[in-house]
Parts: sequence; C-alpha cells; structure tokens
Amino acid sequence: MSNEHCSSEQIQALVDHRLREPERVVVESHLSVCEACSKVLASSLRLDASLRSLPLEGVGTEFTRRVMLKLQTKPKSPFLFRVLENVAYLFGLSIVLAVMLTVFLWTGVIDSSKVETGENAVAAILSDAGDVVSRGIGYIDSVLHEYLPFVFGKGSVTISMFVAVVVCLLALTDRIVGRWLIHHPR
Amino acid sequence: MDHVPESDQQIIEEVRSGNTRRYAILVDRHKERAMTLAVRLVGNREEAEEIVQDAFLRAFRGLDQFRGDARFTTWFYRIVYNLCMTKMSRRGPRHETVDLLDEKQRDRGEEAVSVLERMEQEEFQAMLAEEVQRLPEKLKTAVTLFYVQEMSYEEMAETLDLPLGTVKTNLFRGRNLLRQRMLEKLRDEVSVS
Repeated sequence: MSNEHCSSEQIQALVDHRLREPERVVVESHLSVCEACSKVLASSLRLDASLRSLPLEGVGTEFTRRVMLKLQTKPKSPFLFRVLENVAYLFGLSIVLAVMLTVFLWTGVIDSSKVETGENAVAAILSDAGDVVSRGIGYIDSVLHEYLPFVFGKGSVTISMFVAVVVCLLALTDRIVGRWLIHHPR
Repeated sequence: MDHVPESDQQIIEEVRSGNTRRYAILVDRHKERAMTLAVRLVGNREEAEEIVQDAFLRAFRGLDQFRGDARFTTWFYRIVYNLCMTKMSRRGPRHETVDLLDEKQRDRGEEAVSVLERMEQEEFQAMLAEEVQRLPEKLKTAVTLFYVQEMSYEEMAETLDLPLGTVKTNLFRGRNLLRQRMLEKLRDEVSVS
C-alpha cells in the first residue's frame, strides 16, 4: 500500500469515520508519507466541513403556529367510516328513544290508549312502505338465489348479514388504505 | 442544574397521552432541517413550506403508527421525502445530466486543493450551496440527508427505502461530482480574472 495511492473511497470512508481497523491503519500510514493523498484528504475534509456548515433554511415562529392551528381541525375520516359512524350514532339514539318511550308508557307519563291509536296510524304507513321495500328485497333475493344459491339458500336474513359483513369489510379496508396512504403518499 | 432537553421520544409519548400542545416543540426542533431538505429537493420555497407543513400534520395524525424503534427524524424525513417526490412527479419527467466521473478523473486533487485553499470561506459556501442545488436528484438527496439531516448511512437507507450500498454510492458520487464541479467553477473564475 505504501507505494500505491489510496482510493477516493478509502479517503472518503476515513473522513466519515467508517474505515475499519486493519484498513484504517494501512491508509493512515500511507497518508503519513504521501503528500498527494494527504492533499486529497485535506480537500475532502474541507468539502465535508463546508457541507456540514451550509446554512439551514430559516423558518419563522409563525410556521409552528400555523401547523398547531391546523392540528386543531379534525382530519376528515374516510367516507365509509364516516357513514358507519353516523349509523352508529343513529342506532344509539334510537335505543335511547325506545328506552325513554318505554319508561314513559310504563310510568303513565304518556297515555297508552292514545299511543295505541298513533301506533296503528304509523303501522299503516309503514305497511305501505314495507310493501315496496319487500318487493325490492324479494327481487334481489331471487337474483341472488339464482346465481349464488350456495350462499343464499337461507333467505333474506342471510342477505342482510352478508350485506352487513361486506359493508364492515369495505369500511375496514377504507380505514386501512386511508391510514396507509397517509404514510405512503407516493 | 443544567436543563436536559427532552428527547423526541419523550415528547411523542406526551403527545400520545393527550398533551398535543407539546407537538409544537417537535415542529420547532425539526422545521428548519425539514425545510432545507424540501427546498433542496423541490427547489421552491413556497412549495417546500407547504410540503413541510403537510408532513408535520401527517406525522401528527400517524403518531400512533410510529413504533419508536427508529429515530423520529428518520420516520419524519421519510414523509417529507415522499411528499417531495409526489410533488416532483406531478411536474413530469426531469432531464438531469449526470456527468459521471471518469475513474481516471478521481482527483489526486493537488490543483483542487490549492485553489480551494485560496478561497474565502463565505464565497466558497455560497458557491457550494448553489452546486448542491444543481446535483441530480438522487445524489442531492443523499448529500442533503447526510449533511443537513445528519443521518447515518443506515438511516438514509431506511428513509429512502434503498439498499445500503446504493446509498453509499449515491453519497460518494454526489461528493465527487460536487468537488469536480467546484473545481471547474473555480478554474473558470481564475481564468476570467
């Protein structure tokens, strides 16, 4: 080595403190006798020091304030997740209302005879609407029975469960993909 | 008694446990280096500021996913880098000239050293900053992460999702190209004067 010049890689590795023991000793001993390589080392050290001391881009305190303000705004959840969240709220609300209604009927706060009449009226409306919905579900049911008999042999209860599972899986996928995209925006 | 600054990890734990205002310390601590990386990569301060802001928001919202087995900065600069790349890919293909060094040209450096030593530090640095900006994207990224973000080779490999050898090569080529271009520039200046 003492007659051979050091390679640029060896000198750069020395500057970066990445040259391992046996090689480092050989390179250093060559540098102590070779003026040409010492000059390359000096130029590498200067370039290294200059690169390290290049000024950073200045950023004012206003920047931090703006970021912190934006953090206070709730991020938008993926679409299906938002739908499910709202369904969950509605479901919770309807349970609370049902409990309240039962309590009021039971304690006599609401006159149950009048409620009976109201219920009949609502039942009549729901019956009409129900006919339309039933026809729709019946149609879907027959199509699914025809093309996917092994899944839908048990009727519309299975359809409902299947739809619920699909919606949950879609929401979950949407959530996972949304999270993933945040960290892999490319 | 000396005040020991809290580590990034400690601040992250506090933010996770609900003290979100502490995140401002992380923003203050890393905004300048992040901005320097973004400006170097996209070459435009307005766009860089937008990117860094977005990166801080994404990092905050994804803090639960930060496992803490690497430095926060490695993870965070990866977000900055990815956003910069997305921004640049929208601009369409770039035409970079990578004037690769001829093996024989690897300077024995005597001429370079003598010219470099004569230069004023300030003038030299201004020229160097300009040359860093002109480097091809891959080499510029390696040089910036190593010198501005003070990352190790291993952290750079993790941030850029590249093999360690590629990172080392890019850094090596970046520095050599810088030295070569600086030398050419200095020669031009000497011949003009």
